This record gives sequence, structure tokens and C-alpha cells, in this order.
Amino acid sequence: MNAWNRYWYTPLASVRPYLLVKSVLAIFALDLCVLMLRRGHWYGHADFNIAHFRWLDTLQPLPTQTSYNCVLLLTAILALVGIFYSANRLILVLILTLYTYSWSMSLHDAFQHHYFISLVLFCVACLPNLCANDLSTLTDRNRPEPMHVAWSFRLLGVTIAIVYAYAAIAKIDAAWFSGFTLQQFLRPARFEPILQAFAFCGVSEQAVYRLLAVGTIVIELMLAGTYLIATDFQNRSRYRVFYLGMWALALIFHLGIEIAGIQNIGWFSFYMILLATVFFFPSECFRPLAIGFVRMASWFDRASAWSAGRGAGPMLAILLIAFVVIIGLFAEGRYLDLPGATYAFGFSALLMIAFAANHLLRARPQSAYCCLLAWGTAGSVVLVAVVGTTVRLDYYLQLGHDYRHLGQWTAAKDAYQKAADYAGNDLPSAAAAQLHMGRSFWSAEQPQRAIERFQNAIRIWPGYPEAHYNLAIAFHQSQQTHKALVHFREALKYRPDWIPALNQTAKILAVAPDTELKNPDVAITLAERAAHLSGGQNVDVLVTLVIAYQAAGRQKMALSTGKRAAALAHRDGNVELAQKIYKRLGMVAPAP
Amino acid sequence: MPVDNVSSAVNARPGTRILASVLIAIYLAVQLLLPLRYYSGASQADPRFSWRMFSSTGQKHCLAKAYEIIRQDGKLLERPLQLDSVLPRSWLHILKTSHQQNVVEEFLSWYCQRPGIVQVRYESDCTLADGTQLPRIRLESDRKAPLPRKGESLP
Repeated sequence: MNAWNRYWYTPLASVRPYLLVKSVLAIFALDLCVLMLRRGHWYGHADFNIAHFRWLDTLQPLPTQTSYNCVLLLTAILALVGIFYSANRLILVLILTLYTYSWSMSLHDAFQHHYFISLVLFCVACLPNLCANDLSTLTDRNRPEPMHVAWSFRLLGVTIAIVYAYAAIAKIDAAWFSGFTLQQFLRPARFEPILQAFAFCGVSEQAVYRLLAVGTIVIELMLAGTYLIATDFQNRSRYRVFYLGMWALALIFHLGIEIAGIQNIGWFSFYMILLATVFFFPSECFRPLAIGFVRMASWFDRASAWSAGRGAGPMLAILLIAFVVIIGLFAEGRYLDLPGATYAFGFSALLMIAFAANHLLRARPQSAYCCLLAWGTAGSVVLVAVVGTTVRLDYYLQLGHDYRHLGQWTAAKDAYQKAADYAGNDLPSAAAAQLHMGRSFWSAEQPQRAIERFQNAIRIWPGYPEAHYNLAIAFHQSQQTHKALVHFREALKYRPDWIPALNQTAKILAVAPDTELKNPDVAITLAERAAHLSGGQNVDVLVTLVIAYQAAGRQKMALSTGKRAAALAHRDGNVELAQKIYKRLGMVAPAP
Repeated sequence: MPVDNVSSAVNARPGTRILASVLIAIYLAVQLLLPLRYYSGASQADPRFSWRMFSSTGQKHCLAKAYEIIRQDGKLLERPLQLDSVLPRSWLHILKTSHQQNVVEEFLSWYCQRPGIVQVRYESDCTLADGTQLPRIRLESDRKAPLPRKGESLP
């Protein structure tokens, strides 16, 4: 056996590839339901799209929310079927194809870790088709551990090594070594305690960043090297400590990335920790987990056998169960209330029928039962994962923002209404949905309905400054100055340094025709605070201050502030505003 | 190691092992060479598949502007193009950060096909995290030649 063959084709403990498939599919299915599905609102707007590959543009010029969500949900169901039923190659290839299509249909999704997961799925699809029966000997400690040749397991190790190596190479530049780049990524609030701990030991902030920057490259290169050599040596006692050490390093490294608050990498860190565990941990540590899977498989078998013994005969019972599962899948798809969900569950029902029919044609009724049960369970898990989290709330809230951004008020209102429906006990989000709905009504020139929504938002969350502010603006525009002032003051009660609220309140108090309301002195105080908070650079605030000074009869102050405001307006290219200010001051605008 | 507890399709047929070896070799070649496309400078505008996670080159701040030239009353009029009103937020981020130049090129071609548009121009000034000013990215597209032309100072 030459070195090439020894590297790729030396048998390894079967439990390792078996658990790799199951654990990757588990985290992957949840990732799709909980994280990726939230991004479905990106798709299908403005008739513009670019796929990752040109030929995909021809195949589907404009991916829609329906098509994207459908692909994701169907993939998630298939991944769960791979856990509960059988991760056979056909199912794995379907998962790989659908998932790769999901990110490659648009350059919206250019996350590198999605491409990485496609590579992981490719390697997983090439693994030997292991089932629980292959591991049944694990329950007997006297029998030798089952072994398999799994070249794609090693291929996955090499793939991870390549990723780490390139990630390290990309960082070799002066900006990275100085620690400057790392400083840009880290969230200061989360990182502050670590910096303080180092400062206590006399290490400067810059030195910490430099140390971390160099350390990152070293760790990435060490992990790359370890993945290249990670065969089955970890079972030999003298290497065990080394591999466990490397596992701990991977854990600290990736958890560190999460704790440091580096965003937009989804669950990449958790995938990497999972892979490090499967590659570096001694295989006997997996024995209890693998036995758990074997027992789950035998439970499905027993349940199938029990079902097969019911009713008037296997065929009738299968048809009955299939009918119930199909109805259940359609109901779950409808209940999810996301574009494409019904299609996804419908397609999965069709696939289930095809798989079950295949078993029946081969005279394997118990496998057909098993298939139906697994598919029914997978659909329910997807439903629970989506309904039990804030996926639908976030989806519709962001969709509403997208529509509002494009001026599609009616569609925005509908999306916000759904967000409000799915907010549940999340009161700030429910209030935010009402607020945004109100803004959409306002933009659609329906002020009365806008006011109702702002009031709803305040009813849900009385201390919501944005809702008070928007309601105040709405009242002010509809000449209800008293009410407007009440809500501007409420907004300031909860957010005292909010410049727009300070400015608007000052303006009302300075110019109100009603003598009961008019209070130039308070107006000056508020406007001066707004001017101070904005560093004297906000023209609108300075204009309010001019008005307030004039209302209080302080012409000198009004003149000097007005000149400053006019100069700023000139600087910003707003000549018209500058002329208005001069006019208000009773001056002639200087020649440009 | 006991022989009876080892199983694999690769062991069963020698031809399968050769096929697997060819597949492994092709896969590895692609995985090693694909990122080089970016690092060698052959495709600097497209950082996909390069494993450039958290590197300095990915950290740049850009100020992007677009202009449209329209035909109005028989005259050509140039005015700033409000990207916000044309595209959804998700695309805007890509256009404004200039991370994916191919998206900008496609956008210009797409926008140029709108009625009344004669030409569209995109300019972006980017600064790296360490303050290094990158050469201005300047792309334009017109109705007659919708494929974007690159400005002389393209990096």
C-alpha cells in the first residue's frame, strides 16, 4: 500500500463518520430553520438579481421569496429525515443540491461559510452509507469496534485544513500584524473586560491586539496541520493528549470569536467546534451517543413493527398512516405562514410517497412505516423550530422595512401586520411592528389610521419614545398642538437627549399661538441643549434656537445664532434655507 | 486490526478505488487553485471562494456615488442617481461597499435599460482599515454598449 492509498483508504472507527453525518445534519437543519430562513425577505424585489453562476440566471432569472423559502424548508425536512430515517446517498445528494442552489441563486448570499457547508455536505454525501445496524456491535464491549474505509471523511479533514490555511495566509499583512484590523472587528463593550485584565498585568491595549492577531494566524495554521494528520491516531494513548489539546484550542478559538461578537458568520463557529469534536475526540467517547442513535433507530423499527401489526392488514395501515402524515405536512406548511412553506411541505410529502412506495415495491413494509414516521417527525421538528423562535416576527418586520424602503406602503402595512401577529410576548417587537405600520399609513397619507397604530404601540409599550415622538408629529401636523406637546414630553421623558424631540418641543413652545402653551424660556433651554448635543452643527436646531431667542426678545443672541445657522446652510449647499434665515433676521443675504 | 470488522465499497472493487482517487485529486486541485484566483490578483474584484475571513483586505470603507445621464427636452442632463430609491436594502449594501464589483457591473447594465436613461456612471472611493486610499473605482455603462466600461484608474 503506497502513501496515497494509506492516507485515504486506511479504515477508521465507523462511529466517527456515522456521527459526523447525524450531527452535521442536526445543526444544519436548525441553521436553515432558525437563521437562513430569516433572510428570505431579501428575495424577489425590484426585478433585479444576479446569481453566483451565470447559467443560474437563465434557469431562474428572479428568485422569489417563495422559491427561496421553499428550497430551504424542503432541505431542512430532508436533513431531519436523514437523522430519523436514513441518510442514504440519494437524500444526501438532494440536500447538497438544494442547499447549494439556495445560496447560489443570488449574490445576496455571498457568505463564505455557506460555500463551506456545501463542501462539508459533499464530503458527507460521499461517505459510506452507514446505518444504525452497522454500529449495533458497539453495545457489546467485548466485540471489536466496527471500522470502515471512509476516504471522504479524510477529504473533509483536508478541506478544513485548506480553509484554515487560506484564512491564515489572507491575514499576512502589516495592518493585521499591527492589530488594527482585529480592532475593527471586535465589539469594544464585550472585549473591554479582557483588555482591563491585561492592563492590570501591565500589558498595553495595542500589545493585546498585536498578540491576538499573531495568535490567530498561529492557531489557524496549527489547526490546519492537525486536520491534515488527523487520522485514527487519536485512539493511541500517546497522541490522545495532543488531539484533545487541539480540540480545546479549536473550542477556545471559535468560542472566542463568538464572545468577541464578530458578526455575520452565522453558526460557522459552531460547525467548526462540531467538526473538531468529531475529528479530534477519541472514538470511544462517542460510544454512548452512537448507542443513543442505535436505540432511536430501533425505536423507529419497533414503532413500525407495531404499526405493521395493526388494522386490517399492512397495506391498509400504511395507506392510513400515509394519509395522516400527508394531511399533517400540508397543515404544518399552511400553519407556518411563510411564502413557499406550503410548497416545501407539499414537495416533501411527494418525496415521502416516492420513498415509501419504493419500500413497498421491494416488499419491505416495515421500512415504509419507518419512512412515514420519520417524515412526519421531521415536518413537526421544522414547524417547532420556526414557530418556537422569532423567525416569522423578524422575517415580516424586515420584509416590511424592505417594502417601505421601496415605497410600497400597502405591502409594507401587510408585512408589519403579520409581524405584529407573530410578536407574541415580545412586547418591544410588537410595539415596533405597530409603530412601523403607523409610519406606513402616514406615508400612504392615511393620518387617522397612522395615529391609531402609534397609539397601539404606546398601549403595548408605554415607555416607547419613538412611538410617542411619531404620535406627537402626527398630532402636530393635524393641528392638535396640545396633544403633540404631551407626547413630545413623553418621548423626552424616556429619551432625554433625543435631539429631534428636543428640537420639535422647543419649536412648539416658541411659536405656539396659544398663550397657555407658549413658553420661550423653556424653548430656549431645550433648543440650547439640542444645539449642545449636536455640537452646534445642526442647522435645523440652530434655526429653532433663533426662533426661541426672538420669541423671548433676545435679538442679539438670535442674530449671532442666525448668522451661524446661515453659514452652515451655505456650507451644506442649501442656499434657499440660508436666505430664509437672513430674511427671518431682517437682513439681506450677502452675495455668494 | 481484525479483518472482519472492516467494510467498504472501496475495498470491494479495485476500480472504485481508482475512481475515488481521481475524484479526490480533482477536488483537491479545485480547492487549492480556486482561492489562488483571488490571491494572485487575477480576480481581485471577486473575493468569493477565497476564504478571506476577517482579513485586512476585506475591511474597507467606501463612499460610492452613481450618476445617470437622461434625455430631457432633447438635451442630455446628468444628475445624481439615488441608489436608495432604485434597489432594495440588501443590494444597496453590496453596491455601497464595493465588495463585489460584478454586482455593480450588472446593476449598471440593468439600470441602463430603463426608459430615458442614456448612460449610468458609478464611482467609489475606498479606504483600507489602515487608512490607505485605494484607487478610485469608476465604471460606466450606456444604452448602446450596456456592458460596463472600466475607468482608467481601476485597481
